[in-house]
Amino acid sequence: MLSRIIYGTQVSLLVGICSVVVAGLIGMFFGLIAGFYGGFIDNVLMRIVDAFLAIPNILFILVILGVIGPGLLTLIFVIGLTNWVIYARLVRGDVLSIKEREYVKAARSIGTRDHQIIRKHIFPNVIPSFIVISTLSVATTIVLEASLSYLGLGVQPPTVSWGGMLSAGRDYLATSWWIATFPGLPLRLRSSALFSSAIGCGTY
Amino acid sequence: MLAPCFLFWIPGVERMKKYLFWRVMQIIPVLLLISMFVFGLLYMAGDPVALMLPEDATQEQVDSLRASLGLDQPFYVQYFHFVGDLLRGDFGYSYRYNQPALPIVLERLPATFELAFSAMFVAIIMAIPLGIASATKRNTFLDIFISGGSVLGKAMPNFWLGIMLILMFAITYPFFPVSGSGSFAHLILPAITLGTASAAEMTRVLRSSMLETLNQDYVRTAVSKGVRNTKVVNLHAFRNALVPFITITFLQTSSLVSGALITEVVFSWPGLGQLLIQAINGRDMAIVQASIFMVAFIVIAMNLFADILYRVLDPRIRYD
Repeated sequence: MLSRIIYGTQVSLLVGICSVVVAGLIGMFFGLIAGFYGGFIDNVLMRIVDAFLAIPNILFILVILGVIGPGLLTLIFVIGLTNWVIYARLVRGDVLSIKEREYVKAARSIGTRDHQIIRKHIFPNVIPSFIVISTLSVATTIVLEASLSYLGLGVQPPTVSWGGMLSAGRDYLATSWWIATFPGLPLRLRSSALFSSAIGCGTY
Repeated sequence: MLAPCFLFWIPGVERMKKYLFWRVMQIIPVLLLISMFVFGLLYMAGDPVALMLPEDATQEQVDSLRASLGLDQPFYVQYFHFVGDLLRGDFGYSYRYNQPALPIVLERLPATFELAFSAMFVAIIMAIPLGIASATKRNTFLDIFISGGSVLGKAMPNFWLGIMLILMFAITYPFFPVSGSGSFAHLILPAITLGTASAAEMTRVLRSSMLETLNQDYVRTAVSKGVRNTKVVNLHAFRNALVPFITITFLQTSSLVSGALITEVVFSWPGLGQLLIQAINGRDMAIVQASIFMVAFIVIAMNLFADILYRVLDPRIRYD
């Protein structure tokens, strides 16, 4: 039991971090573009973001996984592909305020090219809030992965995952309470630790 | 005569109308995008013909059924048919239940609403006293305890909380039934399970907005006038802190719906979530698409409502 829980840690961290990286990369890219260029591109991208936000995350992921079929890699990419909107929105908001700053105007007035302004002047300034949200996201993604595995659409056996163990434990609740209890504890600890560290990052 | 006078008093009714119009117009592209997404999913899910015909069907039978369903057409023609059907309120036909999908989904909605509203109720009764207490007793042990608790509450997977509640209050001390629905007792555990995460979020929002209003000049004036402490908190600070609180309450819809999906499975609650999980496992795409649209519609409507309410409650917010 203990070793299964420890192995479950691997899976949940892997899914948590990888999917946040995927989501972060996509979201950062589109957020930078939407915020920097504005206008038509911005409008289109923001409507896409709205559409994604109108469907609860987990519903989206469940349906896609139901259609494609579950698996570790698919899980990571599907979570990544549905969560990028959070980053896109955040980064866009930041870029909108950063691009009005003096140093960006100065860079523009000496004829710096767009991609260089984005890379050298805007990107580094978006990073702090981006990191806070990513840390938070790792926590929520871990919970999400556990929920999906609980529903049987996440990580598939024989790979161990906390959600899967919980789901198995639900059936033996009346006779052996510990099966359902202990996989939940590290899950809860891990995510609240990440939450606290994200809040800490945000207020330093 | 009185009503128009009142309307006239509200500043910026015209601007409000204009804002409302644009806000509603923005929903159209969002719905279109969702329809594209759902169509893409159906397309990826593959050919329903294989499921509808017996295994020994001839190629001619397959082809004629494909033609009669319009599946032999290019995908953009299929997409236009799909949107046309949606506009007429036709969300497809469920082969599992042998009826149109929409009524089946609508039939499950009241149960989900019942759960979501009770969860919201639980969240509100938990969040208001906790939020006020932690803001007024700022940086004391109580505040740290409540804030820490809200982090834990938000970080906790709600299905695990559900299982633990079942273990405590249905198995070890059998106060409540383990699962199912029907009576008030059945509702309590799922409502607490679903409401906790929202309560945590709402407590945090209420705490920070209370802290802000407690620092305002009118609160300081009230205190220096000698108004009693409870009155200052309840009347001056709390009422003004309510604006963000009410907004966040409505914005919880999305997370309540997604939480309900899992909570319903844990407690075998006969709502939309359970229906959807079964539909996904049984590849009943008509039900899946009808549920997605229904959920998206509810979330969009609630977000719109939250937006409008925010502006009505706080006239200082600009319309742009």
